[in-house]
Amino acid sequence: MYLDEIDFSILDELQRNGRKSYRKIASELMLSERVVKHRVNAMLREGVFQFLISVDPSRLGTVHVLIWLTTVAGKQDTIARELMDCEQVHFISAYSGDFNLLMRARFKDKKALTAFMNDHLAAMDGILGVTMNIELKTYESSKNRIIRKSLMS
Amino acid sequence: MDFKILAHLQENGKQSYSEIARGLEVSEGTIRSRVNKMLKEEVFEFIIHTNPNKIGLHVQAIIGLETRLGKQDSIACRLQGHGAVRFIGAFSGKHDLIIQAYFRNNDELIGFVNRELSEIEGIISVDVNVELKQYKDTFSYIDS
Repeated sequence: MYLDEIDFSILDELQRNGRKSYRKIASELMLSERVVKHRVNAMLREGVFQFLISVDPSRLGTVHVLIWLTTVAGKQDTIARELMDCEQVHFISAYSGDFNLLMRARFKDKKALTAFMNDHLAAMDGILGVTMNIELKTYESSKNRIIRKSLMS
Repeated sequence: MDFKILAHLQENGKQSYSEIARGLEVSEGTIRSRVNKMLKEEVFEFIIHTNPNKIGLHVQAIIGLETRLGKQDSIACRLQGHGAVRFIGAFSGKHDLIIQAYFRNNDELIGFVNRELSEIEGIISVDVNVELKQYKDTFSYIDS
Protein backbone atom coordinates (compact mmCIF):
# COMPACT_ATOMS: atom_id res chain seq x y z
CA MET A 1 0.00 0.00 0.00
CA TYR A 2 1.32 3.42 -0.93
CA LEU A 3 1.06 5.90 1.92
CA ASP A 4 0.93 9.59 1.12
CA GLU A 5 1.45 12.69 3.20
CA ILE A 6 -2.12 12.65 4.49
CA ASP A 7 -1.76 9.07 5.73
CA PHE A 8 1.48 9.91 7.52
CA SER A 9 -0.07 13.01 9.08
CA ILE A 10 -2.96 10.93 10.41
CA LEU A 11 -0.57 8.30 11.80
CA ASP A 12 1.47 11.06 13.40
CA GLU A 13 -1.63 12.37 15.20
CA LEU A 14 -2.65 8.90 16.32
CA GLN A 15 0.77 7.90 17.59
CA ARG A 16 0.61 10.81 20.03
CA ASN A 17 -2.89 9.90 21.16
CA GLY A 18 -4.42 6.69 19.86
CA ARG A 19 -7.85 7.63 21.15
CA LYS A 20 -8.01 11.02 19.43
CA SER A 21 -11.34 11.36 17.65
CA TYR A 22 -11.50 11.41 13.87
CA ARG A 23 -13.38 14.70 14.13
CA LYS A 24 -10.49 16.36 16.01
CA ILE A 25 -7.86 14.94 13.66
CA ALA A 26 -9.93 16.10 10.69
CA SER A 27 -10.20 19.64 11.98
CA GLU A 28 -6.49 19.84 12.80
CA LEU A 29 -5.42 18.56 9.42
CA MET A 30 -8.13 20.55 7.65
CA LEU A 31 -9.74 17.48 6.17
CA SER A 32 -13.25 16.13 6.37
CA GLU A 33 -14.05 13.57 9.05
CA ARG A 34 -15.07 11.15 6.29
CA VAL A 35 -11.66 11.33 4.65
CA VAL A 36 -9.91 10.59 7.96
CA LYS A 37 -12.21 7.65 8.70
CA HIS A 38 -11.76 6.27 5.20
CA ARG A 39 -7.94 6.55 5.36
CA VAL A 40 -7.79 4.97 8.83
CA ASN A 41 -9.97 2.05 7.77
CA ALA A 42 -7.91 1.45 4.64
CA MET A 43 -4.69 1.41 6.68
CA LEU A 44 -6.20 -0.92 9.29
CA ARG A 45 -7.35 -3.27 6.54
CA GLU A 46 -3.85 -3.33 5.04
CA GLY A 47 -2.27 -4.00 8.43
CA VAL A 48 -0.34 -0.72 8.50
CA PHE A 49 -1.17 -0.17 12.17
CA GLN A 50 -3.28 -1.33 15.11
CA PHE A 51 -4.93 0.53 17.96
CA LEU A 52 -3.36 -0.54 21.24
CA ILE A 53 -2.55 0.66 24.70
CA SER A 54 0.82 0.94 26.38
CA VAL A 55 0.82 0.15 30.07
CA ASP A 56 3.56 1.63 32.23
CA PRO A 57 5.49 -1.53 33.19
CA SER A 58 6.50 -0.08 36.54
CA ARG A 59 2.80 -0.01 37.56
CA LEU A 60 2.43 -3.73 37.13
CA GLY A 61 5.06 -4.78 39.61
CA THR A 62 6.35 -7.24 37.03
CA VAL A 63 9.96 -8.06 36.18
CA HIS A 64 10.94 -7.31 32.58
CA VAL A 65 13.99 -8.97 31.09
CA LEU A 66 15.88 -9.40 27.86
CA ILE A 67 17.04 -12.94 27.20
CA TRP A 68 19.64 -13.64 24.54
CA LEU A 69 19.99 -17.17 23.24
CA THR A 70 22.68 -18.95 21.29
CA THR A 71 21.21 -21.92 19.49
CA VAL A 72 22.52 -25.04 17.80
CA ALA A 73 22.73 -24.55 14.02
CA GLY A 74 19.42 -25.56 12.49
CA LYS A 75 17.44 -25.16 15.70
CA GLN A 76 16.93 -21.39 15.72
CA ASP A 77 13.57 -21.39 13.96
CA THR A 78 12.06 -24.27 15.96
CA ILE A 79 13.13 -22.70 19.24
CA ALA A 80 11.77 -19.29 18.24
CA ARG A 81 8.41 -20.77 17.27
CA GLU A 82 8.14 -22.66 20.52
CA LEU A 83 9.00 -19.60 22.59
CA MET A 84 6.65 -17.26 20.77
CA ASP A 85 3.76 -19.29 22.16
CA CYS A 86 4.80 -18.55 25.74
CA GLU A 87 2.59 -15.82 27.10
CA GLN A 88 5.46 -14.34 29.13
CA VAL A 89 7.36 -13.64 25.91
CA HIS A 90 6.06 -10.54 24.20
CA PHE A 91 8.88 -9.98 21.73
CA ILE A 92 11.17 -12.42 19.98
CA SER A 93 13.34 -12.00 16.90
CA ALA A 94 16.32 -13.60 15.21
CA TYR A 95 19.44 -11.43 15.03
CA SER A 96 22.85 -11.31 13.49
CA GLY A 97 25.72 -11.02 15.97
CA ASP A 98 26.86 -12.96 18.99
CA PHE A 99 23.39 -14.28 19.73
CA ASN A 100 20.83 -15.94 17.46
CA LEU A 101 17.66 -15.02 19.26
CA LEU A 102 16.61 -12.17 21.49
CA MET A 103 13.42 -12.05 23.48
CA ARG A 104 11.82 -9.61 25.85
CA ALA A 105 9.67 -11.20 28.49
CA ARG A 106 7.89 -10.25 31.67
CA PHE A 107 7.25 -12.21 34.81
CA LYS A 108 5.11 -11.62 37.84
CA ASP A 109 8.12 -11.91 40.13
CA LYS A 110 11.71 -13.10 40.30
CA LYS A 111 10.59 -16.57 41.26
CA ALA A 112 8.59 -16.91 38.05
CA LEU A 113 11.60 -15.63 36.11
CA THR A 114 13.99 -18.18 37.60
CA ALA A 115 11.46 -20.95 37.07
CA PHE A 116 11.22 -19.98 33.39
CA MET A 117 15.00 -19.94 33.03
CA ASN A 118 15.71 -23.10 34.97
CA ASP A 119 12.75 -25.26 34.06
CA HIS A 120 11.40 -24.09 30.73
CA LEU A 121 14.52 -22.94 28.88
CA ALA A 122 16.75 -25.61 30.39
CA ALA A 123 14.42 -28.32 29.16
CA MET A 124 14.50 -27.10 25.57
CA ASP A 125 16.59 -28.90 23.05
CA GLY A 126 19.20 -26.98 21.07
CA ILE A 127 19.97 -24.02 23.34
CA LEU A 128 23.72 -23.57 23.76
CA GLY A 129 23.83 -20.46 25.86
CA VAL A 130 21.59 -18.01 27.67
CA THR A 131 22.30 -14.47 28.85
CA MET A 132 19.69 -12.57 30.79
CA ASN A 133 19.52 -8.83 31.51
CA ILE A 134 16.99 -7.33 33.91
CA GLU A 135 15.31 -4.13 32.77
CA LEU A 136 16.02 -1.53 35.43
CA LYS A 137 14.26 1.40 33.82
CA THR A 138 12.16 1.87 30.72
CA TYR A 139 12.42 5.25 29.05
CA GLU A 140 9.64 7.33 27.56
CA SER A 141 10.28 6.57 23.91
CA SER A 142 9.24 2.96 24.35
CA LYS A 143 5.80 3.64 22.98
CA ASN A 144 6.39 2.77 19.44
CA ARG A 145 6.35 6.25 18.02
CA ILE A 146 8.15 5.40 14.83
CA ILE A 147 6.39 7.74 12.43
CA ARG A 148 8.60 10.66 11.54
CA LYS A 149 8.47 13.44 9.01
CA SER A 150 11.48 12.20 7.06
CA LEU A 151 9.58 9.07 6.03
CA MET A 152 7.20 11.11 3.93
CA SER A 153 8.95 11.12 0.63
CA MET B 1 -11.72 -4.20 37.56
CA ASP B 2 -8.98 -1.88 36.27
CA PHE B 3 -7.00 -4.87 35.02
CA LYS B 4 -10.06 -6.29 33.28
CA ILE B 5 -10.58 -2.97 31.51
CA LEU B 6 -6.92 -2.87 30.45
CA ALA B 7 -7.16 -6.44 29.20
CA HIS B 8 -10.04 -5.39 26.93
CA LEU B 9 -8.23 -2.32 25.67
CA GLN B 10 -5.01 -4.12 24.91
CA GLU B 11 -6.96 -6.33 22.52
CA ASN B 12 -8.34 -3.28 20.75
CA GLY B 13 -7.46 0.21 21.89
CA LYS B 14 -10.35 1.63 19.92
CA GLN B 15 -13.03 -0.46 21.60
CA SER B 16 -15.89 1.72 22.82
CA TYR B 17 -16.57 2.12 26.51
CA SER B 18 -20.12 0.89 26.04
CA GLU B 19 -18.86 -2.37 24.50
CA ILE B 20 -16.38 -2.91 27.34
CA ALA B 21 -19.14 -2.13 29.85
CA ARG B 22 -21.38 -4.77 28.30
CA GLY B 23 -18.56 -7.31 28.35
CA LEU B 24 -17.82 -6.71 32.02
CA GLU B 25 -21.46 -6.14 33.02
CA VAL B 26 -20.91 -2.75 34.58
CA SER B 27 -22.10 0.70 33.56
CA GLU B 28 -20.45 2.73 30.84
CA GLY B 29 -19.90 5.48 33.41
CA THR B 30 -17.82 3.12 35.53
CA ILE B 31 -15.56 2.28 32.59
CA ARG B 32 -15.20 5.93 31.62
CA SER B 33 -14.28 7.10 35.12
CA ARG B 34 -11.84 4.21 35.66
CA VAL B 35 -10.18 4.83 32.30
CA ASN B 36 -9.90 8.57 32.91
CA LYS B 37 -8.46 8.00 36.36
CA MET B 38 -5.84 5.59 35.00
CA LEU B 39 -4.97 8.00 32.19
CA LYS B 40 -4.58 10.83 34.70
CA GLU B 41 -2.29 8.72 36.82
CA GLU B 42 -0.37 7.66 33.71
CA VAL B 43 -0.98 3.97 34.25
CA PHE B 44 -1.38 3.57 30.51
CA GLU B 45 -1.68 5.48 27.26
CA PHE B 46 -3.58 4.94 24.06
CA ILE B 47 -1.08 4.24 21.33
CA ILE B 48 -0.92 2.79 17.87
CA HIS B 49 1.42 0.04 16.78
CA THR B 50 2.65 0.67 13.27
CA ASN B 51 4.06 -2.13 11.15
CA PRO B 52 7.55 -0.79 10.32
CA ASN B 53 7.75 -2.59 6.99
CA LYS B 54 4.59 -0.91 5.77
CA ILE B 55 6.06 2.53 6.30
CA GLY B 56 9.37 1.84 4.64
CA LEU B 57 11.45 0.97 7.72
CA HIS B 58 13.15 -2.21 6.60
CA VAL B 59 16.11 -2.40 8.97
CA GLN B 60 15.63 -2.98 12.68
CA ALA B 61 18.54 -3.14 15.08
CA ILE B 62 19.13 -3.79 18.74
CA ILE B 63 22.04 -1.68 19.88
CA GLY B 64 23.71 -2.33 23.20
CA LEU B 65 25.62 0.56 24.74
CA GLU B 66 28.23 0.54 27.41
CA THR B 67 28.27 3.95 29.09
CA ARG B 68 30.68 5.74 31.35
CA LEU B 69 29.64 5.68 35.02
CA GLY B 70 27.21 8.49 35.71
CA LYS B 71 26.36 9.07 32.05
CA GLN B 72 23.74 6.37 31.59
CA ASP B 73 20.70 8.47 32.36
CA SER B 74 21.72 11.54 30.38
CA ILE B 75 22.55 9.42 27.33
CA ALA B 76 19.20 7.63 27.59
CA CYS B 77 17.38 10.94 27.87
CA ARG B 78 19.22 12.30 24.86
CA LEU B 79 18.45 9.25 22.74
CA GLN B 80 14.80 8.96 23.68
CA GLY B 81 13.97 12.00 21.60
CA HIS B 82 15.53 10.46 18.52
CA GLY B 83 13.04 9.61 15.76
CA ALA B 84 14.63 6.27 14.90
CA VAL B 85 14.59 4.97 18.47
CA ARG B 86 11.59 2.89 19.36
CA PHE B 87 12.64 1.45 22.67
CA ILE B 88 15.25 2.30 25.22
CA GLY B 89 15.87 0.62 28.52
CA ALA B 90 18.48 0.57 31.25
CA PHE B 91 19.60 -2.97 31.99
CA SER B 92 21.70 -5.00 34.34
CA GLY B 93 24.56 -6.82 32.67
CA LYS B 94 27.17 -6.01 30.06
CA HIS B 95 25.18 -3.28 28.32
CA ASP B 96 24.04 -0.37 30.43
CA LEU B 97 21.52 0.73 27.84
CA ILE B 98 19.84 -1.26 25.13
CA ILE B 99 17.97 0.47 22.35
CA GLN B 100 15.83 -0.77 19.53
CA ALA B 101 15.75 1.41 16.45
CA TYR B 102 14.27 1.37 12.96
CA PHE B 103 15.91 2.57 9.77
CA ARG B 104 15.00 2.71 6.12
CA ASN B 105 18.17 0.88 5.11
CA ASN B 106 21.63 -0.18 6.28
CA ASP B 107 23.13 3.17 5.28
CA GLU B 108 20.84 4.94 7.69
CA LEU B 109 21.83 2.50 10.45
CA ILE B 110 25.54 2.98 9.77
CA GLY B 111 25.00 6.74 9.73
CA PHE B 112 23.23 6.59 13.07
CA VAL B 113 26.03 4.62 14.69
CA ASN B 114 28.94 6.48 13.15
CA ARG B 115 27.68 10.00 13.10
CA GLU B 116 25.12 10.27 15.87
CA LEU B 117 26.16 7.79 18.55
CA SER B 118 29.82 8.66 18.08
CA GLU B 119 29.02 12.31 18.85
CA ILE B 120 27.53 11.48 22.24
CA GLU B 121 29.96 11.85 25.09
CA GLY B 122 30.16 8.98 27.55
CA ILE B 123 29.47 6.07 25.23
CA ILE B 124 32.29 3.56 25.66
CA SER B 125 31.20 0.90 23.20
CA VAL B 126 28.42 0.09 20.80
CA ASP B 127 27.22 -3.39 19.94
CA VAL B 128 24.94 -3.57 16.91
CA ASN B 129 22.68 -6.56 16.20
CA VAL B 130 20.54 -6.48 13.07
CA GLU B 131 17.17 -8.21 13.14
CA LEU B 132 16.88 -11.02 10.63
CA LYS B 133 13.38 -12.24 11.33
CA GLN B 134 10.66 -11.18 13.69
CA TYR B 135 8.56 -13.84 15.35
CA LYS B 136 6.45 -11.94 17.83
CA ASP B 137 5.97 -8.34 18.91
CA THR B 138 3.05 -7.58 21.17
CA PHE B 139 2.21 -4.98 23.74
CA SER B 140 0.06 -7.30 25.79
CA TYR B 141 1.35 -6.96 29.32
CA ILE B 142 -1.91 -7.72 31.03
CA ASP B 143 -2.95 -11.31 31.56
CA SER B 144 -6.59 -11.68 30.68
